[in-house]
Amino acid sequence: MKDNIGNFELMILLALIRLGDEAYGVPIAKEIEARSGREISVASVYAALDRLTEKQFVSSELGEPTAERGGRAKRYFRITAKGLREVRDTRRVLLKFWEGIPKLERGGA
Amino acid sequence: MTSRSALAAIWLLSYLNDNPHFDSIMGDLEEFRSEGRSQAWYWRQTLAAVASHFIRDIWSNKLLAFRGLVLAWALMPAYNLGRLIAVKASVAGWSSTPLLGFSRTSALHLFETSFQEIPRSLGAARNAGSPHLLAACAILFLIALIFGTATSLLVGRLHSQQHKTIIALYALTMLLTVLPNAGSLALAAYSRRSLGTVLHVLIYCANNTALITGIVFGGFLYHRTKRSTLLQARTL
Repeated sequence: MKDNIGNFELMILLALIRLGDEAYGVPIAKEIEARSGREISVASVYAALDRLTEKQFVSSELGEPTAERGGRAKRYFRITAKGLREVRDTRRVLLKFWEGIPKLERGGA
Repeated sequence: MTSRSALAAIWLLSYLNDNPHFDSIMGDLEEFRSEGRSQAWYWRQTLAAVASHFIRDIWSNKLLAFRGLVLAWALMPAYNLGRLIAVKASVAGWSSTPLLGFSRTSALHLFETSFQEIPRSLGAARNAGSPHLLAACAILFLIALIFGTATSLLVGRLHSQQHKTIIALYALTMLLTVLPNAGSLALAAYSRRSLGTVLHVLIYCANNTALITGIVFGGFLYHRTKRSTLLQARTL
């Protein structure tokens, strides 16, 4: 399986890093919505988390059921060491790509 | 959100219940809803979740989905032949041998023939003032309903694990086939403005509504039967 991650998967990994131990569906979706300014489908977050779990970039565990969720449990996600390495590698590669494109940083074409 | 709307969305979301994250998705949506997200937002989330699960399920079971569709559609010539015989026989008052009238019709041409010949038979009956016209229409709708239910049950039984997705795909392909025909018939009825063409559109739409309703009903019936069998097995 290819280990490459897409834009949305990268956003989710970064959200997991930011949220730490409190990363489950709702805060992850809110984090991405707040930073991207777009409405996020909760199901698409789980679909991406599934792919990231298959690639072993993410692990998860089930929490306790709560009344505000209609008695359903939260599933907490955490980035793995492999996932963290992938984020660092992606950042390094993207930064290299950004080098030498100063016009975009100033808002030009 | 009104309780009826919420129940409809939750019922739709139950399609996802074989998704490993079903409980988490439902819980998250409930939490968002309790925080004051709008009804429109909840429905967008519901439709997005159902659509993405449907597409992913088809994609990961491509061959099974294809087999299910081929099986269901392969039975269409028999369906068309059956309703053609029933319409001709009921219009003639069950007094003649209906097969004689279209003995040259090959199975391959049945899609086309039924599309043209059934309205032609019904039109001729209407012009002749046949008293059996309504009965012929009722028989047509009944056959469509029974055929839809039976094929849906068969497809469900042969694709037990993915029955919801494959039956939904079957209904969707049927709808996508019917809509262009209904559109062209409606256009023809609009340009000719005759009672015959209007009746043709109405009967075509009612017949295919019965067929698709049958498919959906068969899906529910199979799902319900399967669920009660599973529950019985669990209690034992």
